[in-house]
Amino acid sequence: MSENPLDIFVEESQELLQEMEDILLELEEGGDAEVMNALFRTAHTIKGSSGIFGFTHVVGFTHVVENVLDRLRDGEIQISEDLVAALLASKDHIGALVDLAIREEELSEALSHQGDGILQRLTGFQSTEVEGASAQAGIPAVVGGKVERESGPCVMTDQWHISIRFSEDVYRLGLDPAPFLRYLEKLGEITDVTTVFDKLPSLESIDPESNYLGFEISLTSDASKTEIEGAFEFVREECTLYILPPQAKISEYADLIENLPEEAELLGVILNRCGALTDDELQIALHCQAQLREQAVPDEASRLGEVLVKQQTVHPEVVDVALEKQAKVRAQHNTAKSVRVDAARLDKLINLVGELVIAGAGNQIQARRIDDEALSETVSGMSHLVEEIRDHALQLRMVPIGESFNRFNRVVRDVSKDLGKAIKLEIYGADTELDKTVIEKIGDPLMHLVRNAMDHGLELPEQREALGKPTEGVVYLNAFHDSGGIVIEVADDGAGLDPEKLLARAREKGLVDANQELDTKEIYRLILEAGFSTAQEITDLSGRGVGMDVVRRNIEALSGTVDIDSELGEGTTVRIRLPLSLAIIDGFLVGVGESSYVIPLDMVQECIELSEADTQESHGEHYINLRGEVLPFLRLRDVLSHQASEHDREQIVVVQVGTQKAGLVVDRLFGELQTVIKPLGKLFRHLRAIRGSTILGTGEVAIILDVPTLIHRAVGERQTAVNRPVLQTVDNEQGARLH
Amino acid sequence: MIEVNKDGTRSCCQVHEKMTIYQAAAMRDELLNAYCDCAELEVDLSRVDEIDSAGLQLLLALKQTAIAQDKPVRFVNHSVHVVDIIHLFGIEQFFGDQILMPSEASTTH
Repeated sequence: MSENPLDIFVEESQELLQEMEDILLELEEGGDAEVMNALFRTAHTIKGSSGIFGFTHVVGFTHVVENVLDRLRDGEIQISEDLVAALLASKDHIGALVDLAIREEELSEALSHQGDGILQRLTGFQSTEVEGASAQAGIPAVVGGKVERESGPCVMTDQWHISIRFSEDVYRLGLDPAPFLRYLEKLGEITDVTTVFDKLPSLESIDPESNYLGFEISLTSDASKTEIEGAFEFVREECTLYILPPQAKISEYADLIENLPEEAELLGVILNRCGALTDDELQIALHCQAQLREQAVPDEASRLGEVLVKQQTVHPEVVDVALEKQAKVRAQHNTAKSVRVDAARLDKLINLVGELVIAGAGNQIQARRIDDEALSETVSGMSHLVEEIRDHALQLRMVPIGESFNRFNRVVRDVSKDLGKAIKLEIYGADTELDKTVIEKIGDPLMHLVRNAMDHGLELPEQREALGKPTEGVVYLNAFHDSGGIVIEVADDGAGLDPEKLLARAREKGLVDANQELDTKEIYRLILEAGFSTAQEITDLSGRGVGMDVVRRNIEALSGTVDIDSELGEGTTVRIRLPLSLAIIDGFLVGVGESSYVIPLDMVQECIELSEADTQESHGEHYINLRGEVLPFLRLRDVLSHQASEHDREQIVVVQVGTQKAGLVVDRLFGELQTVIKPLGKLFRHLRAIRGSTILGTGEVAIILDVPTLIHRAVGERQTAVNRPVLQTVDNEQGARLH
Repeated sequence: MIEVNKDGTRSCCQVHEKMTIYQAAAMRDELLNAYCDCAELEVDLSRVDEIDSAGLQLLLALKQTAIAQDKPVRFVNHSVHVVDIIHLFGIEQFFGDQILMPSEASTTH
């Protein structure tokens, strides 16, 4: 076992907690004995491993949870909505305790309050004999050896203190801090608010759509910590939040000062002014904070050793043996024969394969030049192998998308409760595989779409009943492979989009000219424009029109596209189309002027010659007649500012993305090749028609074209060129297709 | 979005109706133009009937920039919506004492 035991513990506990959440969410629909057993085992194992490391807080808390799960397994108590909710909260809390233990931090008052709250909720479900244990687990001062800071002096104030810093993106996600403060007013009396805006740039350099505000709030309230925290639930992921209870320890304020981004002195003044700390308390807190800072430089290498030495409970050998034993047990449980590999190593392998592909292409060119039959044969044999290695290496990075879909179970459950809507999440195609890096980046846009579907798409239960629909709304997540890419759909069976309303709204906003006609698809796409809100009324959750455009931009950054289908009264489907991998693609090499360009092969439909007659027929407009179809085209020479060349014949490469087609006019066609995408430097990032670069076998650099952008441009140019009678051309197009 | 009346080196500008995230980008440009184009600026907020954090943040940035460059910028005739959010964020002091608060008591904590 080369890995650090602590790392294994971290990974294992995360997996177990995830398993616990998954089971709990399933349990809401009922479960059998085996499931209950598995659930019990999750808590039991976490408790066991934590015990080995001497993480007493985790053990204490998990013990209570384990007890409840044991009774559940034995049928002494029945599953109920309350119980599931309490257990989900427990799961989150165990996660937080584990994090804390690993970071070797003390249990904060805030966290221990939270734990007490959850234990309270569990009280009704646990057997009497552990009541004592639970009480003990709730009082952190009793457990653990290091207590010197836990018994520190307390501050005088009897107010809650809330420190919140909203993320820069909070507006773009459709959230506004103000309503959260207003909500707090309902929980008690806000005795002081200080808006922290020291990060606010000058009017000249400010990004008006980024948030720079944070708040220090004093609140007099009888509400529990959970209730106060609940006020910020919707922005939980978009803010840094600290809540200190009345009479908190000074050391906690010291932690606060240390953890917040502002200068200690500035914060001190704010805390002092809003009455959270007296002058003396402030001095102590600042002193504590300075000490904290000195301590907070642990030597990474000696970390594990420190834990063990500090705990002084076990010898390292014992830890190894115990963990090894657990690993064996785990291996027996899920006989899934897998090996853990460091993601960085995998990336390195992929990079090397990329280099191999390039080198292979170089060999091929040389072999062709030498023109020796035996050499050609071996080279072609090798290039087959290289191709296979490439495919297998890429396969290694492929992960089923299901895992990232599953986390929406929890989101849907929580949000549906908040919104008072009954919502079910249905997942299809969870086995569909996608490059890991793409999966990581697709999470946020998906989250936004799912929230949007729940908030705006689905109607309230009463409305649904009136419409004769089942009261329970459904959000669908679906993934499948389609022509060299993957398609992810987020759909709902809600109200659907009303094209007329959208168009009216867009006109009102000046996004569309009053006499400009759009087809339904184009109208739907309007909701992806910046500054467009479809909701009749704006809710706190989303729908301020800053969001869908961010989704679109994120997807486009992954070389993907978004399109929308909707049926009024039936629902809406948002379809995301993504390339399978971002690293290596099959490309089609073309020449413009003296340079070489690569077009992703799966977007190429066909190549035709642009004849003299075609050019004349187009009368200087940018479209030709392709077997009765209107095909807009772009001259890459113009787009990429190349000098006109001597070539007498130009070629059109017909490319297609989704349902849109366009022609790209080039000077020469070279044929297919495997392409390793190298990202472009910062300097080129704003170039819109370019996706990356690659190195050819000859050592030459070729630019990889961003086809969706080019198609967009070709179609757009055609529409402006045709000057208004867009409707007419659309008719022609449709008419032509019928033939 | 804003209407500027120039009187020598002194400008008076009237902000119209909405100051929210939707207008933030355009509003910033117009405010910046008005600000750069004068030696003294008065911003009339009487017609603002909707303002959110993004809108208020712009006012803060304007005032802060003005203070840093020592250029007189005043906000006058705050509408109830503006007063409401200024009070909510507890930044009456930063904007100076020209705001007429609905009740004196609520400002003195």
